[in-house]
Amino acid sequence: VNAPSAGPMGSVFVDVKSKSQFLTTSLPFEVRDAYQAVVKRGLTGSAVPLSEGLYSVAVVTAEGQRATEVVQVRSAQTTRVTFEDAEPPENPPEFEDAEPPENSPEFENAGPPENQPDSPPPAGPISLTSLHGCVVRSSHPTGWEFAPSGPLHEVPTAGFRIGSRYCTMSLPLNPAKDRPLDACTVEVVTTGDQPGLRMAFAPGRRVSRMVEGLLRSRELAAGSDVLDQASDLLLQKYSDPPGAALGALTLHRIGLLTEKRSWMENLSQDFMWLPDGSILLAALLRESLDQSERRRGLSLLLSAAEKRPMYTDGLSLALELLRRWPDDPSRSQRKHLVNRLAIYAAYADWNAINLTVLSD
Amino acid sequence: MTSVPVPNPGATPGTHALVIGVSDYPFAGQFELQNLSSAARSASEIAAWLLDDYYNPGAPLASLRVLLSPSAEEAINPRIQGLQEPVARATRQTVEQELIAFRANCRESTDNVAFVYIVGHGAQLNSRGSIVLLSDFGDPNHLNFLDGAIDVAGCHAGMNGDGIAGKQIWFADACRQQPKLALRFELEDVKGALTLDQPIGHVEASPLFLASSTRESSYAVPGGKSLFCQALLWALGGAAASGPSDTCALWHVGSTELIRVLPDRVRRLAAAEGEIQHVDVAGRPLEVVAQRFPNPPQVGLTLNLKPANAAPLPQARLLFDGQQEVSVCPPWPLKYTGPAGLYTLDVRTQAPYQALLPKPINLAPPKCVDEVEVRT
Repeated sequence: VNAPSAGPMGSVFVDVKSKSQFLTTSLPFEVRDAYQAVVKRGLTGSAVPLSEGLYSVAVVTAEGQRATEVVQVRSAQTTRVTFEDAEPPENPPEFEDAEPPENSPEFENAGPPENQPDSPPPAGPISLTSLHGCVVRSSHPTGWEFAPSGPLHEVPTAGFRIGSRYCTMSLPLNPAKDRPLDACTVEVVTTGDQPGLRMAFAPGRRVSRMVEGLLRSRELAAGSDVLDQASDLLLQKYSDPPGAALGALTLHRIGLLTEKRSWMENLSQDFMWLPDGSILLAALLRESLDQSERRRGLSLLLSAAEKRPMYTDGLSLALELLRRWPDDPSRSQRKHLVNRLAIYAAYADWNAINLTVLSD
Repeated sequence: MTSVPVPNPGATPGTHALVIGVSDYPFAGQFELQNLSSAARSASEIAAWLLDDYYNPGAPLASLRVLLSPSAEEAINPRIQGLQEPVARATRQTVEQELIAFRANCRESTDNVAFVYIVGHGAQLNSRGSIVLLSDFGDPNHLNFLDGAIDVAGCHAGMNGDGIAGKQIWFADACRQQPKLALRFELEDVKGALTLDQPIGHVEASPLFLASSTRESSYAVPGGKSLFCQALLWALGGAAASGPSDTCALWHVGSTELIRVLPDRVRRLAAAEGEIQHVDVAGRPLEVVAQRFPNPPQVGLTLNLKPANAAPLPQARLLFDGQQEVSVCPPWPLKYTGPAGLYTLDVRTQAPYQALLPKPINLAPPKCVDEVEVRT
């Protein structure tokens, strides 16, 4: 759409379609000229001036994916580029509601539960075998939607049978929110000829989905600013601690979490069921010059490492910290906890964002 | 010999490279580990690429340390094989010596660039760290189980401090063991494995790419290259190139592009062989330019006509930046190979087909395949 614009230069206005106001105005874009040289950068919801010519506009979309459009800019005109995600509807119609559980079933073992949730097993060799801290809200032939069964005291998990193997997944549910913002989905996916499972935040958790998308599309550097803001929002405004923890883990991974100590104090203190928050705070305290702070960090780490982490990267960070903590007095306890977490590590699916452990 | 002669020895700032490849494990039979057939070859290919193709006018290759332990039948890249002196084996002692010398070189200027590639049997301890076994792993004279191993994350962390090469890029290509043996590694607190003390501060950027395959067969093609090595050389050869930006005024392969491209490429290569292999990125994965190109890369364009038997055939003109016509090879599908950039395609149709608007073409590496649809 070309519309008249003031001035001899042309311009490009870039926006993305999303129901989240934050995402429509905060996603980074990059403009390259015909020689593919970067000539402008900006944030969605704004325009940049350009001389006449061909340009490519690349953006990280609301789903955290990279998308590119080539546009012709004309003098004294504004060229509008709108990026749309194939964003799933808030309540996907293909999901069939399961009976809302009166008393949520919780199954401890990997074997078939006595009171199996009202969810037909998806087609193929994958079936749901256990639930812990969560219920199946709905299901469809190739996936499930999970919700918390009540207040959480530890990371909720679901167990699946994949052919002859078992798989236990941590589920980033949010007990602080009501439907549909409390949920996540698990879909059956095929990699090569191997069936597998993939977790996603529920469609309504848009900012968390964007963080997840950034990770999946590996747009870490391009999205670092938006990741920073998103993690802040998820914790302070949207009360989505699992989403905030995922953003914070990613920020830590790229070395940009150091200024966020107060976030991590909140995440660690207010959401004890989510050990990843304490692991992150421990990682920050480890760098302190104050020995008492380092000691506090170690204490948090030792406590958090007793629990199952939510994310694969939370497990990795915990193991790295336990192996390499600078002060020595707790060596035997650290080694004990490394051994405990190594059981997960040896069987972890490192491709999965949420901790996914396979076993025979 | 471990230091390979380079064209600009001692250049400051310069790029300092350390390349280690281990296929031969004479003491590892007790752990049911077989020799590999392509790890040393893969490392030699990376070393040859550094010698012959690496281009960085601001920090040319100033040192290249290569340690290889090939297995009996393994073919090493002729460029490395043909060096006047054979390269040294990758044992704990030689690797330790060279790591110390490499770090000393890297400390000569914070404008230096560090490049590290390590491949062999190993274990990915988690998504942020791995160990790679050296050739004398399992030597009964060692004090600790992991004395014959290098703790890649520990060495990487030990190079992440003030007063050292500010831009670093690390690749660890480990053949991951089956869970039973992996667990043995993971239960160890990396005690004994070669590592460096963690310094104060941090470098500007230091991405660490951790590749690990699920099966040894990725490394067992005699004379072949590991899947990760294939993907990396493909990317560095220009497939992951992007245009000039605020971090590099030339066409280049940056680490952020490698982060985007390598995992997918490795996954595809592995899937084609019925394998699962993944790539994790740890460290400080901000932008490091891994390769530069003096000119824009040449990219192939194929434009298919839909329907392919349309008659009369439409006429097409390809214009760089919408203005400068370049010659394309008729008939359809149109073929063109030229510098990467933005083009428009003007297609002139005749009745019964409708007129078409100019079509923008983003000719970007590694290749571009598109189609032109004509409708009545």
